Amino acid sequence: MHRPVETANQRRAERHITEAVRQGAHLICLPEAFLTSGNILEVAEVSVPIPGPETGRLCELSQQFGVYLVAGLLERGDDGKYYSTSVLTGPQGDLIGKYRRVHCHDLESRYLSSGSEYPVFDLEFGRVGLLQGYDINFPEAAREYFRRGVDILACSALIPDMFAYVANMRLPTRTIDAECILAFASGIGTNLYAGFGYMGRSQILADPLFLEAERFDFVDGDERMVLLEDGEGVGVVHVDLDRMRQYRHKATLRHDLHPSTYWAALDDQSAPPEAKGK
Amino acid sequence: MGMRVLLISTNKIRVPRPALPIGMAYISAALKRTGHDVDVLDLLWESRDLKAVRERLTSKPYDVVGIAVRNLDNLTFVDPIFFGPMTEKIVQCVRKYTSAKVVLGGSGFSVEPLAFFEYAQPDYGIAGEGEAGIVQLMDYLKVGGPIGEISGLCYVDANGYFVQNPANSAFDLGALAPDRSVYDPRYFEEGVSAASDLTRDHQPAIETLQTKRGCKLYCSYCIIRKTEGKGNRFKEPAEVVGEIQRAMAENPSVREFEIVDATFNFPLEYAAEICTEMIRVKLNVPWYCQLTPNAITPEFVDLLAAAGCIRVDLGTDALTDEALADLQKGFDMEKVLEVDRLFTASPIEHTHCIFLGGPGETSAALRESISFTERFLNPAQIYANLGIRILSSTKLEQQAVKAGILTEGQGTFVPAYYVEPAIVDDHETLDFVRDAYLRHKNWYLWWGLRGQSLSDRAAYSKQTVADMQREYDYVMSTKTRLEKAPRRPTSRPTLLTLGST
Repeated sequence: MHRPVETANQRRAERHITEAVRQGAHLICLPEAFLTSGNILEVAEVSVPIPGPETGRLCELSQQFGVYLVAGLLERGDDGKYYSTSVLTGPQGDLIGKYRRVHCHDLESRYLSSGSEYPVFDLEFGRVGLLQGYDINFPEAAREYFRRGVDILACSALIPDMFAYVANMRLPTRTIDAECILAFASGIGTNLYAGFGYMGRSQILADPLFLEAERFDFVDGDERMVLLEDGEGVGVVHVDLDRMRQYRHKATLRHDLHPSTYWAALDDQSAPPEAKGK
Repeated sequence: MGMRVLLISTNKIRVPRPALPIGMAYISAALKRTGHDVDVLDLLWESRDLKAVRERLTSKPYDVVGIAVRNLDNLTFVDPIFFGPMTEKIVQCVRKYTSAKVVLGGSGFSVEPLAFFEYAQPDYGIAGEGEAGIVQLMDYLKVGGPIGEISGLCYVDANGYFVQNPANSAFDLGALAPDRSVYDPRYFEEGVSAASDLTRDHQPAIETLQTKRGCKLYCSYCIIRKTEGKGNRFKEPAEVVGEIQRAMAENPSVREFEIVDATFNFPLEYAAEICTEMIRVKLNVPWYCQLTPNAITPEFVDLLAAAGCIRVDLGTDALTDEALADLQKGFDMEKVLEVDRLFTASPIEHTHCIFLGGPGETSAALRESISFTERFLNPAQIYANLGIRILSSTKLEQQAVKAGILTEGQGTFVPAYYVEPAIVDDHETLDFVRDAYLRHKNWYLWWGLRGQSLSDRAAYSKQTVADMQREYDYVMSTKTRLEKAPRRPTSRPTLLTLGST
């Protein structure tokens, strides 16, 4: 009974992929749960196997256009659990890999299981990591990808509108935290069951200090190189990753880290009450 | 009606102390005297240069934007900073936000006019002294005329060739004082100079002035003869002293001044006349200057002291006879010793400015020169540089090619330094040098010396210079290389008097 909705979203997605290809994109990122939207109450019915027919279609599109595609799907795992997953398909028509969202909020975690890995993929233009919308709340996720030296984080997101303001504040920060480009493809529309909308505002971001070093006309705010303010659409930006890597080589904070001081267990006195409650 | 002109000073060097933008002040004076409206933007005080430029450009319309480039780079091998890229971006900013003509000038532009022009792509450049050329250019932009007669003007002609007009017009140096209203008040705040001068505990606010332009010396690395001329144009001593008096009267914060001639005491007779005039009018203001050791006599030291001079920087440059000869300094170590003793016996504080690792210097010679300094010299300060910035058309450039530091035709727009390769590779000697400079509080080589070995720093610097070259190549990959236009007959020199109207 959900097939018509899926088909409509798939059709929309293919139309936008075609437009992105026309604008010269090599890596195209779609939102989280792009086929079905995010009604996790129905996850058992709308989730798909990976690999499966849905990822097969994404592989076909990748091959047809010679591009990499990142897309969020609700996954029905072989282990009988459900995940919010991002997949990466490549121009050879292959399913290169996937990322199962690690962070799930309280309600979600009754329906979805968490992934446990931060995989990276070395493509011909650079190293790509995958992320999903709720992960944006966690600097640790961005830092895990920073540790792995990603050039691009492709984030498929579906974030309730009430969190848009804070999410917008976090996005540039995560970009700087991860020392990379962040492609944030963010779903729109309304969750009829829960009665809220999704924030949209898809964007592609870079470290503002990199852009200021690179461009003579950088203006504060330009770190959002593309921003889709309203509704659905396509935003494409050309990024010279060699230049970004050169900048990062000189400007990285990596060498000033003190890993041994982070995330050590706290004694009872130091831990806040909310940490003890769980 | 005059042109609306914005002058942007791009100097960002604060060590040993922020230098007043005297070049821009002279250009401003010349423009104002000839009826143009001048605003200035001094980037020394801006933390985000391009933001400041954009805000200024969008706040008011300008017909001409002049970019004053005092330095192409900071001339420091151990901490190399290249100002070319910022200048290029400023030019692009002017292009994007205004329809103003862009003019590059200043000694930093004059060092490498063609290379700078093809890199930054201004509408015009003015090589050498700019006061006459900028005024002639304003006339040209307003009413047209023969562009080939604008003094020192650089431009691309109708055939796409790069043309650099001869500097065939001079202005009456005596009739034009710098427009000191362009100086940001922060230059004169208590503590500003002292904060960046790591060699002194106290440094009051100062004013600067020039008594003449150019230099008559032939140091092997220097291009002042190219950028300022051969040192044949002087102010009358009474005009010099009058300018000091006016500058001090107009700005009560100023308590000392510095004569910023490349070499104040060459020719010696003229310097003596200036001092005599200061004594005659009882100027009674502490001041300092740069001197060459080869024109210093006991009588002149006495005269300096009597005129109020409290500090001199000596262009000693090297501390062995062989190195002095190679640098074409015109004096030997016997003279260095004599001069050192003269100043030690006088109330005037003296600093030896020297290069370490110059052409032909061996590790043994470098170590010996340090031991010699400790045993026989008694300066208030040693101010040293490891290596020498290589500039085009100098003897040093030829030596650098021969030593394999530069390739033939490489050019010197992107910073390049002569450091004797055997010394850069000799870690023990570099450690010896570092230890010596850390041992003496009044010896200065680099502000970060305490935290890093000199050999590690040298390796970092070589990589930084290589990165600068790569960045330059990247920028130039999308730009057209220029060729010089065939030579044309030189037009007759013209004298402009900018101060008498």
